[in-house]
Amino acid sequence: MTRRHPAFPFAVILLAALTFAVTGCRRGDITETTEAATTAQELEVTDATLSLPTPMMGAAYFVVENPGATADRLVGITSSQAERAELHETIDDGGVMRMVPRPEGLDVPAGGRLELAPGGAHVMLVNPSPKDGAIELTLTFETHEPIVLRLAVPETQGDAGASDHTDHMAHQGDGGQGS
Amino acid sequence: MIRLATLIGFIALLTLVSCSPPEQYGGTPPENPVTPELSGTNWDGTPYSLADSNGHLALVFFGYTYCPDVCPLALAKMKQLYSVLGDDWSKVDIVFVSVDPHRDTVEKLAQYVPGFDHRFKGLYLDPGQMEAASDSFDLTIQFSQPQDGPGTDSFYYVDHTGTYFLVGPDGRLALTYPPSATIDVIAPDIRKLLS
Repeated sequence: MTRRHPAFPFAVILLAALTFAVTGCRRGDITETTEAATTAQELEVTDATLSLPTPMMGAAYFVVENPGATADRLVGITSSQAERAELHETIDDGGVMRMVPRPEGLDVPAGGRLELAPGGAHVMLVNPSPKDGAIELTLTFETHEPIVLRLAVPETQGDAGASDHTDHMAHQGDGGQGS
Repeated sequence: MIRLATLIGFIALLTLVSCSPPEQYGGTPPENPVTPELSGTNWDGTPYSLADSNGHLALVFFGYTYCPDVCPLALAKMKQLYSVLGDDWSKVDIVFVSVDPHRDTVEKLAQYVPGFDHRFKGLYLDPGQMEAASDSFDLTIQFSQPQDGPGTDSFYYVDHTGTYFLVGPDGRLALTYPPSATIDVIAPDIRKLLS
């Protein structure tokens, strides 16, 4: 009969602990790999609406969802159907409503969202000219490929129109500011 | 004996009324409840003045037709307010006042304001009327440089006071609300002032 060393039970516990630690580390590695893969996920644009209170002026709103682990940035808006299409933000400065241009763009945080909504960040459209009841915008990002939005003209003021659909472009080129 | 009971009843009623807590409002009462001066031309070409409000309340706010974001938001909010007020809408004037007389005209206001609700007033003020209104409501109005440079006829913005001013039936400023105020706050105040 083989006699076990008095330290055998401790050795078993130590081995189990080391095994658990190594396995745990591997799990950590796997998680990182999954996150790295997620960065390649596409941005998604939702809740796109258009406000056209006059023939001279309009605004567009939407949400950019970023499920990935890497932040991006909305750096520009172009449209062949407006004299100007610019990123702006309305700021409430102690009761004075100020319009602040954002030519530097707006952050799309990792695992978060960029929200353009009435009373905050928005796309200003000067002299918009809808075609077939809609206006097309091209959203340009720092890293993601451009996204094209087609926004339906609302039927009445105070009721913003919903977007028809979004398209991801293989490359930029359909926009062009000015008309 | 009956006269004594009547007298006691009257005193009790008086005591009850005088002990009632002051009316609570969601809006902020002004430190100095001035009688603001506001006269102009409505989008339909008729003159409008707060001094001739016929005992109506007036909810006054300022903006301009080239304002892409906050002014349509305010007008959409006021459209909701009329909807919430129901038949009481006829006792409340909702008054949008242009702060951009260089670009806005009565005709442009006619293309803009009734698109939200034809019951709204949309006022064009000449420079003298604008100065009087600005003083009365203590407005901040700042014009940006034209986007293509000074002296050009290109687009510019107008930063402006976004406060909602509720003027009572006596023509005096009754309550004010910040730009972010919701209908849930404004509508109950209007009902209290109408009752």
